[in-house]
Amino acid sequence: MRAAITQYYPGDSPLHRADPRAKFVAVTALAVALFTRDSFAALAVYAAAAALAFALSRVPLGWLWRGLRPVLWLIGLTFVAQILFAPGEPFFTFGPFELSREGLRLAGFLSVRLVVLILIGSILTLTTPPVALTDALAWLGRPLRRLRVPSDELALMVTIALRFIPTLLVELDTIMRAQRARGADFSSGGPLRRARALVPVMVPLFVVSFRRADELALAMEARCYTPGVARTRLHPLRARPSDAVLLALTAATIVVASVI
Amino acid sequence: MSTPVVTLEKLHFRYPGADRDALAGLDLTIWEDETVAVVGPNGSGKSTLARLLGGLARPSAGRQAVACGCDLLSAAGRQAARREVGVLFQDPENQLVAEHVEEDVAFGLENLAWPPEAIRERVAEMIAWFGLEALRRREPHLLSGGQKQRTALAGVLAIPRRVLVLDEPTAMLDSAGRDEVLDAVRRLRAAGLTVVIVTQEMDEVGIADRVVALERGSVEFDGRCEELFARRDLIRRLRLGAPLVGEVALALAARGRALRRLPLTLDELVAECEAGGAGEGEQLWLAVSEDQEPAVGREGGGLESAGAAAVPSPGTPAERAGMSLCCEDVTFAYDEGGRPVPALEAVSFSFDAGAAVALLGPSGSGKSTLLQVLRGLLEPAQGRVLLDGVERRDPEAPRLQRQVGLVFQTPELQLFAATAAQDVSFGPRQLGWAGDVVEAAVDAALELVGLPRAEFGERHPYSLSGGEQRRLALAGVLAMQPRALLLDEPFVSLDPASRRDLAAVLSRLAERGTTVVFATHDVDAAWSLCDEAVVLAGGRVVSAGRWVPAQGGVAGAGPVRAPLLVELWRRLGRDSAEAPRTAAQAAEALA
Repeated sequence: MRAAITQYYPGDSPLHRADPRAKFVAVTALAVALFTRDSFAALAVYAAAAALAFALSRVPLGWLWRGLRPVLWLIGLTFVAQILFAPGEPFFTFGPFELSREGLRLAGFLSVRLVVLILIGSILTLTTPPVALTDALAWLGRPLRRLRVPSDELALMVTIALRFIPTLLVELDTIMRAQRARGADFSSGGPLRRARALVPVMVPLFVVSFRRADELALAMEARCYTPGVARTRLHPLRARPSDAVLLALTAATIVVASVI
Repeated sequence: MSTPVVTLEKLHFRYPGADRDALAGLDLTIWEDETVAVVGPNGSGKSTLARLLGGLARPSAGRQAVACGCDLLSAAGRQAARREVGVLFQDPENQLVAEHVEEDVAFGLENLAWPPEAIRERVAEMIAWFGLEALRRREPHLLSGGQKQRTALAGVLAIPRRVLVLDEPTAMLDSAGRDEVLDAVRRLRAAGLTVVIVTQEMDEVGIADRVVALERGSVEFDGRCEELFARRDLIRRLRLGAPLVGEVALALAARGRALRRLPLTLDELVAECEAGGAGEGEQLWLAVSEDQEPAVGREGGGLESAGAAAVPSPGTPAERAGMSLCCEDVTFAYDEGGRPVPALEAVSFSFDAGAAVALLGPSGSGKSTLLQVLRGLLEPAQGRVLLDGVERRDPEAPRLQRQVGLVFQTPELQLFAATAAQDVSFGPRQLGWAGDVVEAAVDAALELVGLPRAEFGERHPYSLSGGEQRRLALAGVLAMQPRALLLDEPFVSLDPASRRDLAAVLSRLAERGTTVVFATHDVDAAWSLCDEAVVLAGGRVVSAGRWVPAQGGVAGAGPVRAPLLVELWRRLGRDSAEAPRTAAQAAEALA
C-alpha cells in the first residue's frame, strides 16, 4: 500500500544506489532544461536519456504506467486543446473547429514533452525511498537556514508524517467500519449529507492525532531530541565518484540537447 | 553500601489550571541497582512522577530533586536528566518515530550527535539484546504491540543510561506482548540497571524489590512487596489488580483460611491449597479487615441498580430475546492490492439464542474477521451466515443485521460527540427511531453500563476515565438494543478495576438472554462468562460447542491454553469437568 502513495520500488540498481542529492539535482536540471528548447530533436535527446535511465533502474514497465496513468487526462487535454485552438493553416475542418498541421505538430510536441517530464520525475521517486529524498532536501536546503527556514526540522516532520500514514489509514478504516456497525452511512446522499456523515469519523481521527502528537513529542524529548541542535544520522548521505559521473552525464545530455 | 541515584524531598507538581497538586510534598529516595515498583490508583501522580524523574516536567516546588546527579529544579539539570534517565511510555505506537526499526533505535543517538560508526555498533548491540534481528528493516505499523514496545525500549536504552523508568509499559498489550516486555525488564534488572516501574498489575509489582504506593500525590507506603501484599485494605484502596491466582487466595482468606503468603503463580497457589494451613512458627498472612469482594462499579457508580425498566422499543415482543447465530462453511479472504489474503477457511458452528460464546485463538487466527462477517460488514466468498435462520441475501437480513451489535477493539476511539448522551444516541438515531424512543434507549443503555444519565449524560466523553469511556462506547452499541452482542477484545488496555466493572456488565447482559460472543486472549475472563467456545487457529475452527477444556491433557495443548481454574483443579487432583468459573466459586469449593 505504501508504494501506491510514495511510488518507491525497492531495488539495487546503480540508480537506486546513487546519492539522492545527486539524483534530485539531476532531475531538476533536466526538467528545467526540457522546457528551454522547442525542437523535436532536443526532445528526442531527453527522451532517450530518460529511457536509458529507466532501463538502468531495472524497474518494471508496469510501474512506469502507474505513474503515468493519473496524468493521462492532462496529457489528453493538452493534446486536444492544442489541436483545436493553435493557429495555422487548416487542412481539416468539422463544425467550428479547424485542424492545422502546425496545431498537430504543437500538440504532439507538448504531449510528448509532458510524458518525458513525468518519466524523468518518476525515475527519481521510483528509485529513492521517501526518507532519503527528505534527507536530500534537508541537506540541499541547509543554506536556507540563514534565512531562518528550519530545513532539518521540516525534514523530520515529513519523515514522521510518512511514518504515520499507514497507521492513520488503518485507524481510519477501523473507525469507519465501527461507525458503520452503528448504522452510519457514508455512501448515500448529496455532497453535503456525505460531508456531515464523515463527522463521526473525522473527529475521532483528529483527537487520536492530537493525542499522538503530544505523546510522540514527549517520547522524542525523552530520547534527547532538541530542535535546532545538529544531529548525525545512522546512514549518512555519502557521495561517491559514481554520483559525479551521474551529474556529468546529466550535464552532457543538456549540452547535447542545447546544440542539436 | 549503595548510593542513592534519586533523591526527592518535599516535591510539588501542579498541572496548569488544576485545582490541586498532582504531587504534594513527595519524599522518595531510590538506591542504585534497586528495582522499585510505583503503584497507586488513577490520579495518584504515578505518571507525573515518571515524567519528572526523566526530566520531562518542571516541578512547581521542592526542597531537593536530584536524579543521577542532575538537579531537576533547574532547566539545565532537567536537560541532563533526559540523558541519564530513560523513560518508556504506555502506548507502543506513539513512541516510534522512524521508518524502520533500525532507524528508530538509532534516533536517540542521532540526537546526541554520535558518530555514525558508533551509532551503528550500538544499534546492532541493542537489536541483538532485545531480539529484534529479524525486524531490523520492518516498518512500525507492521509490528505487534510487544514488538513495538521492545523496539521503543531498545531505542530508549540505546543511549547508555543508569536509570530506566517504565510508565505502565504493558497496559496496552495483550498477554503475549506483556510477557515479552516483562521478560526484557527482568533481564535488564539482572544486568544491573536501576529500574522504576509504574504499574497497576500485581504480577509486575512482584518483579520489584521494593514498592512505593502513591495516593493523591504523596507516598502512602514504602516497603517490601511482601509487606504490601499483606495489607489487603491497601491493595483494595489502591485498586491493585490481582491476578486470578491472587483473587482465589483472597477469596480463600475471606473464608477464614490461613495462608502463609499471597501466591502470585499457579504453583504457589497449589502449594497453599495443599498445605492444610500455615505450619508452626510460620508467619501468617493475616485477615486484616472486614473483607468483601469489591462492590462492582465503585468507580462508575450505579451498577447495582441493574433494573433497566421495560423500555418502549421497536420490534415485536417475541424478538426481544437473544438471536441464534450460525455459520456454514464460511470462507473469507482480504483483498490487499489484488492479492487475496485468506482469513477464514470453512468455518462452521451454530449457537442457540442466549448463548454466551467465547471466541478464542492466537493473534491472527481470524477472530476479528469472523465477528465482522457475522455482523455483515464483510461478505464471505463462500458459505452462509444465518442470523436467526435468515441468510444474508434474504430481504429480511439487513433488519436482523442491525440487531447485531458489534463493539470493536478500543471502542473509545470512536467517541465523537460533545456529550456522552449525544454519542450514545447516534446509533438509535441512525436506526430511524422516534425522538422519545431514542431518549429512552439512551437512558437504559447508560444505566446498564453504570454511567447513569443524571451524572454522566452531559459530560464530555473525553473527560471520562479510560474505563468509563470504554463503557460509554459499549452503551452506544447497547442503545440500539441488540439481540446479539459481539465484542472484540473488550478487556484489553483496561485497568483492573475497570475490567471488573465491564465483566459485571457483560455478565448481566448474558443473564438477560442476549446472545454474547466475545473474542479475547484472556482465557480466564472468557471462562468466567461463557459456557460455549469456538477455538480458531489459522482461520480454521479447531473446536466449537460446549466449552469442555482438554480432559487430562497437557495444559496448553492446542492453540489456546486451558483456563487457570481448570488447571488448578487438575493439579489438585480434582475432576476438571467440575472446575469452577470464578475465584469465589473456587474458594467455596476449596474451603
